Amino acid sequence: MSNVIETVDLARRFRRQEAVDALNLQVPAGSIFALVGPNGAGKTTTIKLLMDLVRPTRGRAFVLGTDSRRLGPRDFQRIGYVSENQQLPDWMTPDQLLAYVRPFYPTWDDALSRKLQVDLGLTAQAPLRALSRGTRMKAALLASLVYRPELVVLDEPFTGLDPLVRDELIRALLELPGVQPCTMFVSSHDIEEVERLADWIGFIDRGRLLFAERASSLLGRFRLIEVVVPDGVIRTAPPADQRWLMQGMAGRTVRFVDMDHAAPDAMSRIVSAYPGAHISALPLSLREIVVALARRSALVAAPTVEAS
Amino acid sequence: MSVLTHLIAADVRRHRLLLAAWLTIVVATTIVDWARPILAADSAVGTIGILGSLLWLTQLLLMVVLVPLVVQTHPLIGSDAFWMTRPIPPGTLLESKAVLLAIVIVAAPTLAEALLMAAYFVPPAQIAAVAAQTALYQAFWTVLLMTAAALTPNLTRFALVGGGALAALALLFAGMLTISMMTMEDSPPMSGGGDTGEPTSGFVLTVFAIIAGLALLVVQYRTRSRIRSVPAGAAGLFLAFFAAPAWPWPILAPRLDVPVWVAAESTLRLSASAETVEVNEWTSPFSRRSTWSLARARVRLAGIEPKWSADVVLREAALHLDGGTTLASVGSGFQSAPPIEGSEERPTRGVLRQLLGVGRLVEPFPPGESAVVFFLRDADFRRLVPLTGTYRGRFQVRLTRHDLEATLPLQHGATHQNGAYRFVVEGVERTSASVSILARESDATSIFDRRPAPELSFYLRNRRASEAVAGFGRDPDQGFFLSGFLPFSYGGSRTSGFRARNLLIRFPPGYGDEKESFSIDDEWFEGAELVVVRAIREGSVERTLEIAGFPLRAASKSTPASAPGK
Repeated sequence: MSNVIETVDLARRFRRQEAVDALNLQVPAGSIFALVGPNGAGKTTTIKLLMDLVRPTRGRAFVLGTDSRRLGPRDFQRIGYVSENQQLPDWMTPDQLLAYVRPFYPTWDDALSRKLQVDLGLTAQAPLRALSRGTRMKAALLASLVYRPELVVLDEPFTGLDPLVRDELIRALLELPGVQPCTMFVSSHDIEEVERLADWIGFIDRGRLLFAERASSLLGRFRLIEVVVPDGVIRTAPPADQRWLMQGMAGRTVRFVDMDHAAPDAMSRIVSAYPGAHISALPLSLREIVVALARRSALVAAPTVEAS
Repeated sequence: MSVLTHLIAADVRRHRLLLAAWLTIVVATTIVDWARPILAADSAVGTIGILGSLLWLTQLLLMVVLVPLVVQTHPLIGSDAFWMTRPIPPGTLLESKAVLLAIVIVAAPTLAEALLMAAYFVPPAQIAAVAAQTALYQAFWTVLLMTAAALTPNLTRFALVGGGALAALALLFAGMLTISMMTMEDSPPMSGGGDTGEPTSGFVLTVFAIIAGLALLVVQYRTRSRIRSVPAGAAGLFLAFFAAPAWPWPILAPRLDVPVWVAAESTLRLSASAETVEVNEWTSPFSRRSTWSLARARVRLAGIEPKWSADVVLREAALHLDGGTTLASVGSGFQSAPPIEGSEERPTRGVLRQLLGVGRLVEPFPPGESAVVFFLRDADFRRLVPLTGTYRGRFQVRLTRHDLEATLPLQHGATHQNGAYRFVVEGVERTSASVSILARESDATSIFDRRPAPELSFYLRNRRASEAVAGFGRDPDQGFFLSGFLPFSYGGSRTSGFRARNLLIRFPPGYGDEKESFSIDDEWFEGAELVVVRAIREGSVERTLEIAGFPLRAASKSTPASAPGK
């Protein structure tokens, strides 16, 4: 099985709002896929569609080879799901939570459970409702990892957590593939939260997937181009090129993002647009790439919104 | 441990305090219900009665809270519940809820009631029948609450939906009543006048409603979609409402012991003299205008065997007037107890006098009354008066058999037991002219008995004086008035189930026909004994009443007729 998650024209409408629209997504087996996008972009709805928590208006989704609408107990034995919105049985202590879910999983690993409890420092024995958000998330994560799921689905798992806890959780997640190969599907509105984790990035906005590709490819493809034109040459905006995202002009300097800088003719296109200029190509962080894309998406969508 | 028991155990741990409170209340209620009749003569009985009512209310509230809490521990509404992404089979989850609630809400009160019945010496077979009935009703309420809980995400929504549904029902009922009263035409009464209560359709409706509720639950657990589950439940309920009245097999119809002697037409003859006929204006209790009149006659009954009494219900009648006009009665269903031929007294009075073996029976009821024999429009009456004609009416003659249930000495501890019925004299109190008997009475009946419910009456008899006086019994500790209509209650107002109560019987009753005053002196009291008489309605036959020279004439006094008492 090459893709652990695959969606075909998946859509979900809530009254007049198209929360997810014609989503075509493939999550390769063994990858750590981060679905990022601004708040209200459709990340949580996508995950709920994948987990059969809401039903699609149209289209289909396949999770571990099963139609998401037919996910049953056997499928959920292979899936670990943690969400910031999940209503945990908060009358239970972390130990009771583990004891409660344990009989549902034939692959439950007591040794891993003990190890993760130590690693995450999960020793509190108060009911979950009395614990901090971070501790609750640790407990939820623990209860979703120790049966060695083939797919871990995390919906905004780090929101509202302090950096220390976030680090502990990320470390636990990063160590998991080392224990057993698994695929992770993580959603977040903040790329910084997942950039250490993810090897695949998908960007969703207004329910539409704008791109999904390997993080390394993204990092290699995007460059911030800084053009300093010589004295006496009239400074101009870069010519219309779908691959260039204008960032700004100041003095003799023009800045834009080249989205296809890995292409062989990338530099020659810039040189021909700005002959004699000093051109530098600076690498971008994932966060900068996503911000640039989000800005572009907003610009593209704006006339459509006005028209509607 | 299987997944099922694991889920049940988790729910028990989650709600252990409420479950313990529930079981404590069930036990406490059972103890109070057991003690209340026993403490009849004690001054604490009032306190016990209040305690019993409070316990009953608490039990009701706990049930309304406990069922949704157990169901909503794993909510079926929304998309954020923890269990929804866990490998918990929805069918097993539903099973776990159903098993836990069946044990706690259905089985525990049923078992407690069974123990209570055993403490009151109810035979095991009858305990089983009553327990089955109690379990059925408890299951109905439990499933009803489970469906409401499965369709709401939390207790607040459940309370809002439940309260809203009750308010909507009350508004609907009030609206329908108001509209029907405002638009009600002055129509003559039509009623079936059936022999005895037939519980089959009620039983079938209850069972089908439970099945409809379970169907809704199964669909809701499988799909978590109200759009799918509610129509499934509504369709089931719709089918139940149609299937119950049309149910072809009267599996619970009471077996009636109609006597052989009624087969001959010569028995149970009805007769009436044309001279006794009079026509009154009919005044409907709700109508703004009256356009109907009713004709009464002093009907007499002949050819009835000892121990039997009868009342008659008009089925249909026709009046062939001398001018060639034929009128059909436009109303039916009125019931009356015609005196036995040659007598003016209430028909049961003679039967009881004979049964008790006394020459004089003092009872508070008035003598026999005129029977309604015909219903016609005022316009017809005014048009045709004062014509005469030949009357022919069909009546349902409903038979009641009277038997001696018990004869007991007037002393503390005197006990009678017949099947599930038990009567124990707790005390006897004399005043200057009357006697009060405090007794403990218990009985267990169920819809599965397939026998008509008996009516018991009490008499003080002095064989030496050949006299008997009727008594009036009441429960001095009635309890909360609604308790008979709701779950896990066996109050006096319920028609079947287990009932244990105090009975304060006063002789003479102190109401009714005062013309026949009766005073109990010491000598009469010395020779007196308590007699319990059982009356059972044993079916009916149809008989024809013919009156030649039936006159259409107004009543001598202009007293408008109202609905005759039953």
